Amino acid sequence: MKKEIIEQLLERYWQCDTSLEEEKQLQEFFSGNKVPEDLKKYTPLFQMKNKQKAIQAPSYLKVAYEKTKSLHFYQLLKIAASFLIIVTLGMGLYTHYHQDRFLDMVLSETYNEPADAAKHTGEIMAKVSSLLQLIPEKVVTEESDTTNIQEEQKEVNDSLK
Amino acid sequence: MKQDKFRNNVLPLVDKLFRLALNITCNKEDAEDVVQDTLFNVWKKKEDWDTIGNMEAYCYRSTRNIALDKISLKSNQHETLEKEYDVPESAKNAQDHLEQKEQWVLLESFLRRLPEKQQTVFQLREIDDLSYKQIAEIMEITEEQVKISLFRARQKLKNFFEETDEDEKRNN
Repeated sequence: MKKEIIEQLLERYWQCDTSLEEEKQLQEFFSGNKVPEDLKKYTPLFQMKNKQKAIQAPSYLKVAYEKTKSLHFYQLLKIAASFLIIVTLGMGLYTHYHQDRFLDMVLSETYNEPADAAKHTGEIMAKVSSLLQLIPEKVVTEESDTTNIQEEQKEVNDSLK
Repeated sequence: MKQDKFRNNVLPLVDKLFRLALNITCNKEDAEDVVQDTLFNVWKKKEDWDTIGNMEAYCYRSTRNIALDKISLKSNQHETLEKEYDVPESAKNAQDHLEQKEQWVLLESFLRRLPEKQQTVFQLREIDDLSYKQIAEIMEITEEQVKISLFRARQKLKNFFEETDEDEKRNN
């Protein structure tokens, strides 16, 4: 294309009087090898289209939306994950600040009287012994006192000698 | 049916929408978010697609609005109102001994400093080959306003190239 025609097109281009087709002609001209020296400065402007069109969206944006239901699912998944994190943190904080009550619950099964503790211990020992079949099974009742338990323990020890 | 329409009418626009979002936000991650939000919003409105009319214009418009909302939350380098652009001194001095790559960088830097409206009109016309009517519909302005914005952008570009040329001659 002649230089004079290009210069006329350029002037109309600056005035926004060119059509899309004429602007395309300018782009094609400046993409070629025959650009006059004094017009070379405009080359980046008219080659910008090709450069910009090389910029493409990441492929995941196009693939994900092929299945548009998965797009909605992905949004829901983000919300669910956020909710789970909040709940977990909340539970952790609750446990941390109420650990005294928690420990009380665990350790609440204890005895106020040493005699009661000893009696319960004797009951357990008697059951263990009966399991080992060293003496006939004897269940220590609630009426048994500490003394009886001690005498029975002595009998077990004697039988082992 | 809806999926077919989405696949055929909306998905092919993803690259153009991404470029527009990138141009406004100047941030790749933000641009991706903008496009994702746009596509999600379009799909949410699938029951109203028949009332939309021009789907392409709707997608462009949605992308632009979401991108503008995004940058309004951050400090941005665009003005949403029209303003005059002055070539910064640093740009003039950097034009000495230019290679083509530097010319690209300068040109792109210059374009990014245009007001957002001029930049968007420029991009839709120069890169996406849209008519004044199509651009007007996307930006919800008149064709005359489109032409005015484009005229201002091109005049600034013309001055930019002339000043660049003068500086080169002066230094040579």
